Amino acid sequence: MIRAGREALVEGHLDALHSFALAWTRNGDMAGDVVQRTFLKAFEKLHQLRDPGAARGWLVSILRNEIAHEYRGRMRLVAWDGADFDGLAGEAAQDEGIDPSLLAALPSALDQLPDPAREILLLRFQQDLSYEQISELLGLPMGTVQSRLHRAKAALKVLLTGLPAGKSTAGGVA
Amino acid sequence: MNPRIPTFEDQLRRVLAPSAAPAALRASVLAAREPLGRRAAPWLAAAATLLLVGGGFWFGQRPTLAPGPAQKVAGQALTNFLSVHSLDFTGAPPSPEKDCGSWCEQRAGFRAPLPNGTTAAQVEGGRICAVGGIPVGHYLLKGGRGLYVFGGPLEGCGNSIGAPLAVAAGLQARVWNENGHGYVMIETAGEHRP
Repeated sequence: MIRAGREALVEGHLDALHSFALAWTRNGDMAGDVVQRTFLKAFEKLHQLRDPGAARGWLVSILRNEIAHEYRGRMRLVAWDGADFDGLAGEAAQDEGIDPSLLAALPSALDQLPDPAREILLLRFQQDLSYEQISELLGLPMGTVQSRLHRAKAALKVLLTGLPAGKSTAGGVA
Repeated sequence: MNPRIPTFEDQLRRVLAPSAAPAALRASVLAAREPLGRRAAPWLAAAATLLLVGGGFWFGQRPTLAPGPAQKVAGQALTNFLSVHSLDFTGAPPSPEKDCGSWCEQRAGFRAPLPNGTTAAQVEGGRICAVGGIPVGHYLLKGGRGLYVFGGPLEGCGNSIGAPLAVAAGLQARVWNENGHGYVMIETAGEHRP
């Protein structure tokens, strides 16, 4: 039973966790290292996981700690209030897609964002965590999660299009 | 009728969707999933893992665990050593037997015994980490040396400590196999102590 649980944990979450680690480290060896340690710790604590539906958030929280240790002093996971992007927040309400050809630059645009903005985008759109799960993971009120995500999307859109978010950018969307 | 235009969130989900993790990482994570003592058929599981990784395997010869040549492992261990930030234990390894290898088995399912000539008195700390996606036991030895111990032998390595295979930041890495385990010793460049 435990073995099946462990295999399910790996099969269900390894790809996502590795992608998250790779997005932070940009180094395959380091990403593999932190993911390996994440699973070793998860296996030790598997009995603490009561709700299988919460496994992704639980694993990501372990992975975040491993990455933070690996990059101690270089990673700013919590100290961002989004003030840099306040002027863009209102415009971002319009969730219009952008020209698909601009999406090729998304990885480098993500790298230009402050770490907390980059992280919340990855948690939401790569790890597919709910607002509630992100709120619990980051220890932030739900409203802060929503506004941070809002501003992060706006900032990313500006970086990708060169235009304030919400301005017409989707002319080429098929 | 206009086709549905994807929203920005749709586009983010598509572009950021996880890609497949390396097969070697998947195999090593699965291999470490359970301490050896609890496995019903440890050698069967080990063989399956090796086949997954694509490593060579035939009866009568002990399989290797490393994903690549010894030189690559030496470089990966050096990189790992330069980024050590914390240890799982300090002082002697938390296992009493002569080679001190079982602490690692309790946590990660493989033994990390000290090589001949190295004693517990030389150990100042240790941790479990991964080199090239493979879990290893890492000891910090007196004098600032690092010793990485693999759960099986390394591909393309001799059975005695040889010439340095990687040098970086004033450190060098030597790689060898002994008693069925692969070892990487990290020490100051130009130095070698048994």
